[in-house]
Amino acid sequence: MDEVSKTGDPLSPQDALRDPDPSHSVPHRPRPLASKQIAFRLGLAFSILVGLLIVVGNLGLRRMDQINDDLQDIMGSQWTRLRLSREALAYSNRNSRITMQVFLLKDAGQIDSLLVARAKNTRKISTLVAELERLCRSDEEKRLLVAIKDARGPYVGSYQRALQLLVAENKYDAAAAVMVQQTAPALLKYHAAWDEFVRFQGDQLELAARQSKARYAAARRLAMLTIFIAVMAAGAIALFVIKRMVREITTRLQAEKDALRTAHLEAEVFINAVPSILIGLDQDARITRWNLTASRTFGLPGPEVIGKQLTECGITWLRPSMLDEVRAWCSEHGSRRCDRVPCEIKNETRLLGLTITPIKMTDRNVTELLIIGSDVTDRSSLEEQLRQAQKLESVGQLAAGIAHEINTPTQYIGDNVRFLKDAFQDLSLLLTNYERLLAAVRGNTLSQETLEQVAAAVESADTPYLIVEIPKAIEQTLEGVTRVSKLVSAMKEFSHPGTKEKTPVDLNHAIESTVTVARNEWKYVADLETEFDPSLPLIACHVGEFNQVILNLIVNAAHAIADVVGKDGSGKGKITVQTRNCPEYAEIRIHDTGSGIPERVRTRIFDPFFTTKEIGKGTGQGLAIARSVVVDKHKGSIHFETEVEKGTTFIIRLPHDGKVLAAKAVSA
Amino acid sequence: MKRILFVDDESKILDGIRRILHADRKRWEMEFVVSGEAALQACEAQPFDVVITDMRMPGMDGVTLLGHLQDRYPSMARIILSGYSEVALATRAAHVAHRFLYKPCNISELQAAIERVCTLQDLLCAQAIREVIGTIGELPSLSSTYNSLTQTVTNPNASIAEVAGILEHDIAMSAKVLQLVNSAFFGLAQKVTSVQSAASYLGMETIKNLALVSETFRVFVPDSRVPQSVCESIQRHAQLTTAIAAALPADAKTREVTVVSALLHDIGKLVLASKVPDRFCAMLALASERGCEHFEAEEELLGTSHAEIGACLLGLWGIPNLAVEAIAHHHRPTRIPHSGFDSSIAVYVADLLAHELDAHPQGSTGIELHESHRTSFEALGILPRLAEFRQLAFAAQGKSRVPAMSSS
Repeated sequence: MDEVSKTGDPLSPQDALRDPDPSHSVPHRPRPLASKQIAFRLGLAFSILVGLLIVVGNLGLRRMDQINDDLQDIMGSQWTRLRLSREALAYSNRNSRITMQVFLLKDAGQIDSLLVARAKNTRKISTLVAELERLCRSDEEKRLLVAIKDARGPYVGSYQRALQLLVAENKYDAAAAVMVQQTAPALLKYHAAWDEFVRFQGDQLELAARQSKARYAAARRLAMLTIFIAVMAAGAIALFVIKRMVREITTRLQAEKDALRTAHLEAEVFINAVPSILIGLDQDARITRWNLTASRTFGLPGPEVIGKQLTECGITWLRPSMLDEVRAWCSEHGSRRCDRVPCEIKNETRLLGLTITPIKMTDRNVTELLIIGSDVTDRSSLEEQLRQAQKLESVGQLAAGIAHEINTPTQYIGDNVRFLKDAFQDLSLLLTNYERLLAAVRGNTLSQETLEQVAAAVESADTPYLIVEIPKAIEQTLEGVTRVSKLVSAMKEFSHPGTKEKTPVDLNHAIESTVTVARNEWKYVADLETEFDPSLPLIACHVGEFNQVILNLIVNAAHAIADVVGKDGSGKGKITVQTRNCPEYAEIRIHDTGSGIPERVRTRIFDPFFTTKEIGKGTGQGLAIARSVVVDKHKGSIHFETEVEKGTTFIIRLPHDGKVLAAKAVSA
Repeated sequence: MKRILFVDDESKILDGIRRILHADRKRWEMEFVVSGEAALQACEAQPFDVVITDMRMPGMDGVTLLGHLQDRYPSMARIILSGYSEVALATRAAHVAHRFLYKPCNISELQAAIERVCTLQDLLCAQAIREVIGTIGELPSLSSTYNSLTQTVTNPNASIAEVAGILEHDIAMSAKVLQLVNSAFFGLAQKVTSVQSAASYLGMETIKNLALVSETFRVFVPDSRVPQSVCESIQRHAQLTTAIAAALPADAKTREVTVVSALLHDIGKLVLASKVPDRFCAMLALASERGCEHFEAEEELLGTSHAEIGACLLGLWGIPNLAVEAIAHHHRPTRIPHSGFDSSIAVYVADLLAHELDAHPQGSTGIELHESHRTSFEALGILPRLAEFRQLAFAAQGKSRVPAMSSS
């Protein structure tokens, strides 16, 4: 996650933070955890819980096993022993009865069967005793069993003797006596031992049961305890985890909120840093957004204007129909530009250049207006100055050419006049010589010497040459003088300071002057022909700017031809300037045989500062100024027809009001 | 008789010139054409010695025409007579034209220009000098730095920074150039420490010429047979002459040409000393024997003097034409017409005064001028100012402490 920015971040200008909600305290915020950390902690908590459960479960199971064992034990061997011993006792009792029966009976056959039964029982008892012996575990048991065996021995021996006596020897009385004296007490002892044994077993059983119960109770208690502990632990862990999670979530939410706030602030900073005026209007032309530059420009802070209508927020708009305009903006679809919207700021009239763009808010299905603009008053005045500068620049450009145009006739005027001076001297000398000759002839003092002298003078004067050249020199001198004065007067016409009002102008004459003034620009690369329509009326226009336009077009034509003709090339191109009077307008066509305008730049040639010439050869303002002058100032039109490698024609149309003025102004 | 071709698209100008120069038809055969193409055709029919052309003409312009003529007829003198005062155009023209004249041009100025180029042509194409140059054989080559410098300066789009950059690569050359710039010759108000500012103050042309000065002294190393003292005295004399020439009254433009001319005026001697030392020593011997000046001895032995030889070589190496003239005529200034106190007169006077100060270090006021010099001064119209010049020379002597310009 990105760092949360703190207050006082150098990004945000102080102004931007003056407005936001001051109740926002900025406490110390812990960092939200990374996902891995959370997973780890949760994992840990749950593994502890699971571990606890396993431990508890294990304990419980073990206890249950123990109890089970006990039960097994009880059910198993203890009971078996008891049963066995009871069984043994039962058999023993039967045997005893049998013994008694034997004594009582006299029938030998019955006695035999009884004896057999008795023997069987005895055997059974022995088996049982052996079994018991096997099953006996404790020493006490064993002892008791041994006691039983001990007791049995004599008993069994005694009654066997008795039986023997009885059966084999038929000594009833002796048998009886044995019985009474030996067997009976032995029997009693034997049975007491058995009782003892059984009792013992019974005690043992009871004991085992009691023990089992106790253990069960203990186990139960332990289990309860561990479960309780486990529950407590689980609860603690759960509590802890929940608390942590809640804190985590809170932190994250807070961080997100902060990020949002930062993003919002940054957006605000951005909007406020934009050096243009940024105003948002809703559908009712109420101000929804107002950036810092707007506050600065208009001197109205945001909170004061938000919610108010644009025309009633405190800005003095100097256009009376401002409100209607704003409403018109709201119903437009595309972006539009309003240059030079006047308003009054700090008692000064300033011009704003505004771009109004409608923005569709798709989630709310409304259209809001975004106005971006800036104070272009300075720029407008700069543009004005630049236009002036361009005018001066073109005059300056011409200056070199005009200097050349004046130097040329001056050169030959000077040379011719000097020639005339020398020629006059020569002729004067010749004249003197002729006078001498005349005087000599008159005075009849003509001598060969004088003749020769005069002949030599005639020779050196080279009169035939002078006769031919002097008139030519005079003529060319006069022509030169005319040329200079024409040029000067054309310059005067061309650079006539414009007036704020339009004056009626003879376009043919103005074009003529411009052509003369610019002669040096085109004469090396082209011949220029003019075809003026004599019926062209006076057109109301700003003559200075009109001349500027014609000059720019002629210079462009000359440059276009220069590209084609090249330095060494022979042959010049041709520029034709025509004027025509059409019903609605006066048309001026300037055609050149230059390289034409290539396809890809045709849409851009009127753009300000667009030029295809190399650096130093042109600033790209000529056509832009031409369009501005013709279209904006004279409500005319300017367009061109061009064919690559053939040439271009620029066509200017200036509207006139239809009144054909018969008399043309005579130039001064 | 010299053949002169005039080219201008304006026929009336040609008519005017033709009329005014009608009187000179006895010494110059003149033809007048109205375009560059016609000029080339006329030259092919029969070559001319001098061509005078306008700069801006339809079709082929003056500079292009002269470029062609320079290639085909290198010995033709080329003059531009232009009604245009654009600086860039003048720069382009400087490298193809020997002289540059502005319209409206005083006819006597035009005549003087034609005369000067004709005289120089005659001088430098004379048989004698061709022999000497032939003996010298191949010209030593100039360093690549100088060549690229020349190329860059010719380029109209070159900037001072580029020129300075090239020069700064050759440390020795730029050190010498800066030495020269900072010397009292140019009278700069403050010391110049970088070639770039030097070029800003004096212009790229002057810097190029100073670089040439440095080169020339480097390539012509006097042979061992020539005594060391002679070489040193040549060096010293060059410096002193330059110091004096710079002190003489002249405007800034001529001063730069004057300084370069003064620095190089006796280079012919170094050429002789390095290339034909035997004849040079013979000349020295003859001069001391006769008690005459070096140039007279040279003229006797070689048919030409160090002035013309130096001028010829330097002309081939491209120093401005005015400097070539000044060097060629520094012993015989009256060979060419002068208007005003130009570089040629300045170098002549400075050279003379330097020799005087060599002989009389305490000052040469009151010393009688040699007869020939007196005549020359009178012809040039500067005799009344002799005393003034001597004072200036004496003052300048103290300032002429520029370190030796030897090849080291």
